[in-house]
Amino acid sequence: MAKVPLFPIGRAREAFLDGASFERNRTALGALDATLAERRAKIAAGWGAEYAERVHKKGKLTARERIELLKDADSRVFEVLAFVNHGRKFGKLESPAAGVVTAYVRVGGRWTMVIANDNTVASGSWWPLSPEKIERAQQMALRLRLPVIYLVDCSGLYLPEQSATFPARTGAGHIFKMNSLLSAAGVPQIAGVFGDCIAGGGYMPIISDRVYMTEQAYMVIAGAALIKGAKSLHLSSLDIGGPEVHVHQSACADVRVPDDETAIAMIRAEIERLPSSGAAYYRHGAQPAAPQQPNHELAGLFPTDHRMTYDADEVLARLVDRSLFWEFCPERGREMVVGVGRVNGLYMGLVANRQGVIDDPEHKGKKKPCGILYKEGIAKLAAFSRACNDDGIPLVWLQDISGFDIGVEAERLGLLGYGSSLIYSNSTNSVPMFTVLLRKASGAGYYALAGLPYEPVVQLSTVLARQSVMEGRTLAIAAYNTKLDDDFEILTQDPKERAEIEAGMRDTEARIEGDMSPYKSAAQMDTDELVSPLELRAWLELFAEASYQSIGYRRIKNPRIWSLHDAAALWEARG
Amino acid sequence: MFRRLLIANRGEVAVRVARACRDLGISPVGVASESDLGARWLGCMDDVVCLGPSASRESYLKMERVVQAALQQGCAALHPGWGFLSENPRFAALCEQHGVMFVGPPSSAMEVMGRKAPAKAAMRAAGVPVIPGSVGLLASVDEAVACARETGYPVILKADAGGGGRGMRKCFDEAQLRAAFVQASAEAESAFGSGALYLEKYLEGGRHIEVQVMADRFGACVHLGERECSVQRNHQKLVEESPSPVLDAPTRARIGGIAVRAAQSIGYVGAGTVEFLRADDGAIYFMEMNTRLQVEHGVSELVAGLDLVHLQLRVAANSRLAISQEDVKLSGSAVEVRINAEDPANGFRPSPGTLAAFDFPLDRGPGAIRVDTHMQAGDSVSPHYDSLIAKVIAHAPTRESAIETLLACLRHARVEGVATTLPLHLAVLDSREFRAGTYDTRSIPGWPASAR
Amino acid sequence: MSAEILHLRARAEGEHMLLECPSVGLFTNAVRAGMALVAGARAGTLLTLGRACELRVPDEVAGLVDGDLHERVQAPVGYGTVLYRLRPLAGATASASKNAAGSDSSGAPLFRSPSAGRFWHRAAPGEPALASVGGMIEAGRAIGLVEVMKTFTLVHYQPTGGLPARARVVRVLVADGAEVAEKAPLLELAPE
Repeated sequence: MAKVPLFPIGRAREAFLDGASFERNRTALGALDATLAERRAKIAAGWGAEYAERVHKKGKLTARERIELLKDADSRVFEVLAFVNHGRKFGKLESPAAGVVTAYVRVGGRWTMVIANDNTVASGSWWPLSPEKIERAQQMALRLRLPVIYLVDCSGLYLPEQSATFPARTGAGHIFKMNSLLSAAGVPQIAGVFGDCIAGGGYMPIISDRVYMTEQAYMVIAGAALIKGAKSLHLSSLDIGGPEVHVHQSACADVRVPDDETAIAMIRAEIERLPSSGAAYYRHGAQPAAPQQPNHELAGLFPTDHRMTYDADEVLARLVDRSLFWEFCPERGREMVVGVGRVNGLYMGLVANRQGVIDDPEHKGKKKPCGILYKEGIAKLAAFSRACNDDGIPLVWLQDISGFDIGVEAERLGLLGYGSSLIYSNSTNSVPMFTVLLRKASGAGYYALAGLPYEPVVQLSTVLARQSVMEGRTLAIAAYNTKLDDDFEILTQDPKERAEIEAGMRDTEARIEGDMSPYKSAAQMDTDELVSPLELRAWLELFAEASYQSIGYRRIKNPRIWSLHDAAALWEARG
Repeated sequence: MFRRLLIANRGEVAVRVARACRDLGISPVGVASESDLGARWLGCMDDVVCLGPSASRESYLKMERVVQAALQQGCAALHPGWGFLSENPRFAALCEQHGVMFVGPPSSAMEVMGRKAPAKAAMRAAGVPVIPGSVGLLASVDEAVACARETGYPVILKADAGGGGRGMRKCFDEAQLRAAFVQASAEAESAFGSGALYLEKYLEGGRHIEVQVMADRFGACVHLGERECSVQRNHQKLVEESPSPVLDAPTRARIGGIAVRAAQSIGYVGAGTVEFLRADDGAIYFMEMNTRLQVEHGVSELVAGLDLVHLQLRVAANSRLAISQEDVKLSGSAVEVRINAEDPANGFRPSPGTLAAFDFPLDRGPGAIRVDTHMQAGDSVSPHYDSLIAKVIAHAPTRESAIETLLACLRHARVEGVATTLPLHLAVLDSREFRAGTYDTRSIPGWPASAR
Repeated sequence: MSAEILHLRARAEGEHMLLECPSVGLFTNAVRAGMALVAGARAGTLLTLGRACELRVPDEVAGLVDGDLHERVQAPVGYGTVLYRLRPLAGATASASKNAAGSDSSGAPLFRSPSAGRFWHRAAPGEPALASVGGMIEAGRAIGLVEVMKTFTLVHYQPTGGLPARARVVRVLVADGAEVAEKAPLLELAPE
């Protein structure tokens, strides 16, 4: 059957989770969400109201104000990499959002990547990790062929830290390489120049297809301060490289506008000249529709304690249109639930780890814990990943995984091999992939499910997420192995020694727990953004719309001829 | 045109749709619960699939089983009838996903009209007059108070997810409103799963006028005149007639045009009914839209001389509507009563049992009689489903002669074995208010003693 | 978590036992003629809209499959369609455990553990016990947790197998943190 047989999934919340547990989960998550909101607000404030005032006094807008003006009125801005450099100090200074705002912004119905220097933070200059952040945003745009809009207001490198930002392979110079690669791939790039753009900042707009300069903008390879004789001639940087020069004499810019607002309006008009989104075409007649099971219930489904289980199928039911889903190969590899659903009418492939226990496929009557990968689950993932790549179905990897199975049997069955087959596929896939770290994301499991090292287009971490090579407890067990028995219980019966060992194990666990904080990950760019589980549906809608927007650069098979149908025909029950 | 079609319903509507299928050369396939399985009326189907035990929730409402039944019976299309899954957008989407053509509107149109607040918002945007009140849902009791002040008391608080008259609170002043808001929200939350409320000006009485529309997939839409359904008990219709005794021709044309505009603005396809309230001062307001064929559709069919189910099937097969508004000629008057197996003397308690006699004479005149039923003498009335056993419709050149025709038929009808609402219908039809056409939605509770 | 299981419905017809389909779909993986089917055994698969359900023989039924009733490898069936006709097992009696619901010898209703593992009374140390003696419980109420291989799953009261929809907890039969087997009694109840 070449049909996509979506089936109603999910039940009313009361049918699988009692009110008290739901409330407990919701309250705990509420506290984490409140922290997230608070920290986001602090980052959004840049270096503070005083600096925003300075910007306004010059008749200019802040970076975030420019984005508000640019976006479609009824749309939401999806910021990425907001927490880069969070908690990091450079001397006495902080660089909220690494001094640059990178976000998916909808303009004229088309998703774009906006890269806007934060002019309230050291005049929009580049801190350590600013170049890497900009390049990551450019990479996201390149992968999906989304137009890039640079809102440039950048005084170059933050000089005291120049050794960390200038020379490296991923240093500031690589931004211009990315510019070039984007252009070579036919991705439209538009730049608005709003202020002091010196050195690197000066180079930022040039490769873009269209460059708009406001009256206050200038682009210079070096500022007036470094030009001999500039002082006596009373030459400012604006004289040397303002719109007079670059729009009318050098042609390094295209259009001269009086102010920020006009620049933004013209950039909008420019985007509207581009081809409209292909998403409407690829819906194949379906309408966007909300999940049938209420999405907001996700707030109470996840216990914050990672050892406590929840029903992953119920999570999927609250993410896909009308809660309709086609589970791929449900009988095998039951530690994974894998299949196809629609998001805003567009087909997406989804992968999630089940939690709890399943029947051991190798031993009758025995059980195995989920959140771990076994042979069939890995094989199922690899087959699904290859099929979705073949079919052009964008993949969403929802991770809540401790790792691979370990032990004698795991090695004998060859999980190293199965795992590598999966890694190979994910590494060589061209279909857009998106990863969400729901809770645990440990060890080889994090790798197998397309974690950041495998370059998904975007990786999100929820406020519940913890990334590390292994769980804290596992590390403590490894460290204290000689003191533990077969079941990992403490051998000695002496109370004093037991207390010492317990304390030691607790400390080891605590230390690694600290490393696992999602804020730490985000600060280091080990994940692309932090979100609440309540935002997941909105992000999936973005992923779907953005994946199907640009036409002509990737394969999108019509559902009739998906490889998934061949696989299904072979494992379907018959006889 | 489809070769085979699954009728996802039972009883009278299943028989009605099966008849229309035969007319168009389509093979009808029926579904049945365990208790319906041996029913004589299923003989009109070419095949029957059993869905589950008697409870509707375990049989007629099992979406996956219904769609699977259509697939394994080779049905290219499915007609949902009314009630059951007919206004379930997820069901319509499931049919479509599996390649079964759903005879009805697109899920998006069902969704817009499925809840009061989005329906009102859509109608406002289309320039259709709506009852003054809140724009969208009320976020707080203070918002409700501000809105009520602007709208003017008395106001009525309604549940967005409610229906059938439940979840409504009349408020005559601010103090009442403040108290009612919290209660109404909690009640709605537990009854319908959503405590969202909106507010409207409370219009006492008035006449309930509904317009039958038919639209194709290409944007064309016509109306087939109005039906007046103000004779109700507990918000359930008892008597319907067309045309309405209070509308003149210009008003009819105007209200018909508004209904067509409403349907077109939401991309409606198929048969639908737009319900209006005609206030005592003559003002017309949109109430809601029923995105399905209705029980009383026969009334409009007789007056317009058209078969609505034929039109539904053609539209579903992507044909263009062959008639324009000019082609729709409304003639004469039609009156319908719904005979329910309920006992009016015992609080209208359902009265299941076996029909010892079941006969409606068709020839008592002066006009014509049409009886829509799935029952005949010897059949049993099921206790598991709704109690409608027949619709008797009279059509004649004038309203007076239509009423006479219907009275003549009902007076000589023989229905024995179960208690029915027949005596109530006789009293209503024969009453002064009904003959004069001066009744309204308040009538039954205050109806003259002879009717009870 | 396993795939959905549907129990066939049984109806006696003279000496034979008929097993009927409980839903609508394509019946496949049929057990062949001559094979024995006993209570709880797998009896094929039902496909509905592409999703497979495992069919099982209900309690108190046993017999030999008497002929292959459906020729097609995927046979379209509805609710009540006969899937198997069983003739009696020679010399055997249909033995059934009437104790499916699990009352104890005194007849008091018992709620049993859905799986083996360690039973915990509270959601986390320091929190109050989920089920307390004298308290009322109803369907869906969390009454404890079962720990299996370091993962904790909530146990919800389900009034299946004759248990009352609402009940009072008379005794908690398992200590906090004690090992339990699958189906071990956890709570002694009194119907409300």
